[in-house]
Amino acid sequence: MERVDCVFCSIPFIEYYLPAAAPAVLKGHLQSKGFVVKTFDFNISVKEKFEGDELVMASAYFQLNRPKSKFHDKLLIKIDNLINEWVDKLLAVNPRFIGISVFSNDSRRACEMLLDKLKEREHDCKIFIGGMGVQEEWLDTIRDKIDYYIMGEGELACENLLKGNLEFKGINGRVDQIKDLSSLGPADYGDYDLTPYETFYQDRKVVQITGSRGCVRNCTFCDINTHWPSFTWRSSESLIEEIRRTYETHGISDFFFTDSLINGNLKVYMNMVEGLANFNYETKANITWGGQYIVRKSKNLSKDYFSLTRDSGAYNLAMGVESGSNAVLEHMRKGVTREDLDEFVESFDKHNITCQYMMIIGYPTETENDFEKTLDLFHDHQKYVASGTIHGTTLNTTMAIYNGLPLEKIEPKVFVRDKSNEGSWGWTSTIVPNLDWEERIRRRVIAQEVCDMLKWPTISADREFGQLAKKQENYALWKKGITSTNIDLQPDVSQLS
Amino acid sequence: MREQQSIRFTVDHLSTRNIISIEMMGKLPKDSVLNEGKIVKDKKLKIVKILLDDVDIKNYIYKGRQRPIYHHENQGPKTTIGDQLFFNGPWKLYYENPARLFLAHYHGCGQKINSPEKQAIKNRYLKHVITSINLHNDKKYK
Repeated sequence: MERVDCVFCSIPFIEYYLPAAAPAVLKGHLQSKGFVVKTFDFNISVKEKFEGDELVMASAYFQLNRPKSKFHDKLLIKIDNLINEWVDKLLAVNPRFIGISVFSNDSRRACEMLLDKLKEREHDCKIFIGGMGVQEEWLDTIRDKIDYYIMGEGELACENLLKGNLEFKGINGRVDQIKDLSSLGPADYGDYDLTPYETFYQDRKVVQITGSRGCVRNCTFCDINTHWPSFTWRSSESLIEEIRRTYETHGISDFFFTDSLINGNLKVYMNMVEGLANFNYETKANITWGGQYIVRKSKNLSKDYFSLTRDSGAYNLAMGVESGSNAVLEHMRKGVTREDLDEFVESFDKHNITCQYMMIIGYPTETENDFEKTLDLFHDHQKYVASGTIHGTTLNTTMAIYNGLPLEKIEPKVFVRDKSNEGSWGWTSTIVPNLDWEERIRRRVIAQEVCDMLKWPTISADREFGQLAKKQENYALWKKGITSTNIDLQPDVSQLS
Repeated sequence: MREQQSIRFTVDHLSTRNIISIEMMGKLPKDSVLNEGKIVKDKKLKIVKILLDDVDIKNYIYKGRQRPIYHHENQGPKTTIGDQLFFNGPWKLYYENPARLFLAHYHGCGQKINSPEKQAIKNRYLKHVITSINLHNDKKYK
């Protein structure tokens, strides 16, 4: 049997809205260099296998990194079988290299299980891992099961790994950031069946595209700048060309940007929307695109900003709104205010541009009054849900503080970790009295009930509450002293204000 | 009504079920001027925008239906959809009060991410979380 140079797989947990981009991006680039590459999206196989009542718990199983959570035996057997199926598929293509994409911390558990299964089987494949979930403190737990790891952007490191240039910076280390994104080969989603994804677009196939990497902002709750220290972008010409080629060769007209933010560089952004608007005018292709987007101050925008954004096909832009409180937004270093958001979304409404909000409940400086301002935001912007401009909001699973967030370095300290060592609930605010897990989950429930009452669609709330239920279960066990000894419920109280 | 005009009114009677009705009246066959089978001059009414409780119902407007009173028998379909009235007859749009809630529900329930199945799952786990909070946490949920 002929050997495939490399097989890439994405693993759970990643939301099921779109195919995972990393394997397709890497495949596209490596193929442009002459390698034979195959990709699998194992994340979506979870949705396919557990569709229905079991999906929430199967997703939570992978999301929760701590293996102490209890799940039904029946579910565990099915998960075990599923991972065996993954291994069969990987080995069946007889690859020289197996690349596992660890999208975030939420994919670590699946990675560990997949590596265990691979170790049990006979093969001569070299195994490597990459992705934002790969960080130093976790590597020690899996080092004996992998041959290589890559931290940061994978295209050039993978290319050199396959060529045997093992001295290339980034193989078993952190890569230097790629400066010229336009020089990379275009993503290839050819191995993916695009039908099972849980898209917003009714029965329409969506593919992902990358316009930039990194972020122009440095928000305290986000570690993007650790992975991509500089904000780099592709030329608008190369982006439009990729969209044009995908439309003309595959008939796909709906795109989703993998960027941390699409409108980071205003000059490139305006060129892109102008080019896409012209493409839509000329071809009637009705190209649509979505992705993560930032609120901008209106005074910095050209008069054509909103009309060209609309005509280029902007759809359901995911905006990191985070909070309705200016004090919280300022501490987060968002660079915009509630008033800027009001103005921005009003312009969206006037120009028929649709969006969704992404929120953070329980930021370490969020007082009860700040939280109420977020609830006020839901009330005040309900009219945009009613007009169809806002498609909904993600309320998330409350503020998690993982290692490496800029928030950790802020002085004076705004939080202290509890002894639970659990990034999501194991911290207490040093600024806001009593802002701990109990308070955060209480606020999360209130936010849900307010959104339900106001008929705000809450995206992924089913899976979020499945996960919250498990976290609360773990918290209760920890609080009782069952999961750990020498429990100290409160952190060092001398640090609390 | 001539050219573009805005009409603003307040409905004091807040019954739940309501109908907005806009009617084109007084159009005569002679108002449509034909030249070689093509309409070269016409009288029509275009609904540019409707704001309901300050909500621009730009999408919901297409739920409105007109029952046109045609000049001739079998001149067109019994009811028409759209924001333009080319014949006499009432155009009607149903809504419920409170309008914002009704419209938010209308838009939300059409989304895959907000399906009744997903909401049922969410409600089940939400209930589970609230029970656990009240059982184990010092801060209870009321």
